Amino acid sequence: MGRLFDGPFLRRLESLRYASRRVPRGGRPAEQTSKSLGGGVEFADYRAYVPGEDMRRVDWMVYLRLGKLFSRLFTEELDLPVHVALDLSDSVFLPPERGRAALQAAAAFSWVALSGQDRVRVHPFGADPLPGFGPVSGKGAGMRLLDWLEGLGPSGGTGIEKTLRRIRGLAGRRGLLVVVSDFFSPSGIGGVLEELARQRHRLLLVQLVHPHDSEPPFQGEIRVIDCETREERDVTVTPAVLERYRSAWKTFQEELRSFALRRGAYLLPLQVTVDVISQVEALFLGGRLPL
Amino acid sequence: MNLWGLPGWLFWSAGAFALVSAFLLHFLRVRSRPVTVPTLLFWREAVKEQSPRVLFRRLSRWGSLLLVLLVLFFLLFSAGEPGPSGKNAEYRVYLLDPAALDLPAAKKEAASILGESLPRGRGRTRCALLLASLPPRPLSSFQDPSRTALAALEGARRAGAPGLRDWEAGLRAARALLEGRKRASLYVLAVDSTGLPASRILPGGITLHLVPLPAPLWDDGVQAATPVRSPLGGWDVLVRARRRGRGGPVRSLTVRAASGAEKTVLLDDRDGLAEAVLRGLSPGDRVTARLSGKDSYGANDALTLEIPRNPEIRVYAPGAGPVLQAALAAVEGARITGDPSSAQVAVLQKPGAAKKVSSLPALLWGPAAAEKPSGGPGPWRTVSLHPLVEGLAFSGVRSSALSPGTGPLIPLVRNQSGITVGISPGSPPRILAAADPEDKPNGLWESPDFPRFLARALRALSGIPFAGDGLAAGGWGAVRKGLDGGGLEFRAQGFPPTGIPLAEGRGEFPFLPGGKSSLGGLALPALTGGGPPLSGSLSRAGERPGKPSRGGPSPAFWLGLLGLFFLTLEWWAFNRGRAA
Repeated sequence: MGRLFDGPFLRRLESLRYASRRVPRGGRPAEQTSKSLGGGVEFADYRAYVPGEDMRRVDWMVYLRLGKLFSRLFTEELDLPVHVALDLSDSVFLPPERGRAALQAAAAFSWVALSGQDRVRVHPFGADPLPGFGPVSGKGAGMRLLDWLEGLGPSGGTGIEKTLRRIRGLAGRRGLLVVVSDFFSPSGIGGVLEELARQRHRLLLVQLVHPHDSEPPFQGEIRVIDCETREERDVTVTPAVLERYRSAWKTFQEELRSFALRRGAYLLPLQVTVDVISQVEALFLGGRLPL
Repeated sequence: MNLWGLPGWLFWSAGAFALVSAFLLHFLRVRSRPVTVPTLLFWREAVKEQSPRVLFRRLSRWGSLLLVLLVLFFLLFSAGEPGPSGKNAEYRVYLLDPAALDLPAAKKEAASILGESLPRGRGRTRCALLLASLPPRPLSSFQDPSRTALAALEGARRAGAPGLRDWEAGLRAARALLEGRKRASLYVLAVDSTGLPASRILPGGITLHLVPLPAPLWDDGVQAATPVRSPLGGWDVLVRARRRGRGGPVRSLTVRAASGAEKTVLLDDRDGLAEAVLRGLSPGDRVTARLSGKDSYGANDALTLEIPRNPEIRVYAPGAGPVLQAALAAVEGARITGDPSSAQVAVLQKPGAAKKVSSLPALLWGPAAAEKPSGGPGPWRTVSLHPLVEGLAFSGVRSSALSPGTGPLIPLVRNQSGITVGISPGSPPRILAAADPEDKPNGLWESPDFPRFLARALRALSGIPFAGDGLAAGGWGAVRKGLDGGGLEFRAQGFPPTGIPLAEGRGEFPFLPGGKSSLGGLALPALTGGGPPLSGSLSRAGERPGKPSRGGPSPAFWLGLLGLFFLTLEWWAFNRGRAA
């Protein structure tokens, strides 16, 4: 295990769980409460026995008392499909702390899922979707996932819309979509939000925020170069220009926040210069993240 | 060379360094620092309003660079003087009065004039500075690029005592320097301009510019009158010293002849004149007069003169009657010759009497002279002077003053005997003498003044002084700066050994506005050219207190300051950009 994920890092995540009220049917047995009643351990109800049913579910005490056969029904506990869309564009690795935080966040949210026997699938992307990891479940896959994450690095431009479209097109049950990104799409935040709005999964948006994003430390004559498109722009940084920059940043933030509110999505502005796990822990109130 | 006295290569290297530095600094500042950012989303928004001003910003960047370079160029060219220039170069000699080195005010003024004059002609002017001492001392030359005239002036005193003033020697040296130059001018920086030629155009077309330097208002000085024949044989010389004010270091006047005669006169501790006469001196004898002690203006505290030898004058006088011949024979040193080719002077009744003497200086006499002969001089002008002036006035006429091209020096005399005399400035010179129209035709030589007049005329024509010229050392009046308007009144007074005033003249010399100075005395044409010594007094009646002239910083200083300001601005902006 490299420096990204060490023992203490993982131990702090052990107690965190996603708490879904009702996971769709059809999953594997796990810890999430499902909508279907079946072979779980938590009693839910009685039902008149139908011939052909498993005789082991018949409640014989009720039969002795009432003389009728009733089957006991249990809440079925299934797994939660968790998709982690991980932005590996160059902008995420500028500065490197942001990339490190992105990998740690992806690892954290994946590890929490694996700890709860949920199924995890990681969708890394650069300008285009990259080969992903999973779906996997169980803690045993956790170490492989971490090893795999360790090997990731910057991969060019930002193709977040493509990736989200692809995730939307995947067959499977509705689950949780964790998007770890800076959301700096060259076409603007509008396209990203549109695509997010079309997702059927619950959304957890992890925005990677560096202090310089809101307060650029420049003055005088500079030539700003986009690290992905290599587009250049000459700027004379004056207080007025800085003010307009802050205003643009604020609008961007506001758009993201209002979208999250409308959609009922979680939005975690992850400060990349601060400890990642503590920020993730703060999101899991009482160790549970209700979905 | 340049205003700062740096060697040329150093000055221009420094200038080039400053220019290159400004250029580099500007581009280091203007060049945009590349910064890689995660996205341009926000920057696009931020500079949306800035985009229309991009062209203006670029223009302003170039504009500021151009301004800085322009200022630096101005600074360089205002302070520097390129080396040898092309064929259009003007050659300028500054002839400095040695007295200026002893007088702080005069020296400061000379330095100021040199400092102001040099930058104006930069690139086209090459200057030399000469000290008008005997012998003349060159302080800087055309071929000496390592020293400016200004720097030379600063170092002049260290080279030793400046010596006594000798304008003639100085002018000769200056002419030698300027000879053959196409554009040549001579600036004479004079504390005391006595002894300078009246004409402002020197032979060779050199223009003489007289720049007066401040002289002490009142000063002790010594003067000598023209040596005169003594009735006892030999020559007498009168030397006068004038004391101004009380106290001071000067105590006595000592007059000494090389032959051994010596006189010392103690000066009282009060204003006034002291006189000493040496009698019976021989031709060629050298007389030195000196005031003891030293005052603020030492140049007029000593003088030297030589009793002139009287060489033979060969006179060609065709058609001279017995009276004229007798008169010629009576002139000391005159010898009548029948051969015009060996003659120095001709005495003629008619101007064109003999073609073979047309190239000789001639004395024309008789009615023909009065009728302004054809081809002769222009209209006459007569002035009335005391009879005794006649002799001294002529004695001051030097041969150089009568040489062609020296200008209109025409003293005319109409004495009490009715003789009208004029000197024509033509080539050769002519002295025209005519009897009063009411006189008898032969009245000229019957006049009692005729022998003396004849002798003076011959001497003047031949270029041989009748007697030694009085060495007028120092005018006592001077000009002050700071009188804005008003006038300087000069009284000129010559004095013979007898003590009878020979000539008096008054002149008024209005000051130029703005505190510029003018020098009186020179504007008395009848008394210049070695004429009687001058004394002067400053009339303060018309004086109006004006603003004292203030020497503010030069334009080069302000330009330099501006250049420095821009450089500082560039440096500051550059550092600010770097810090960000």
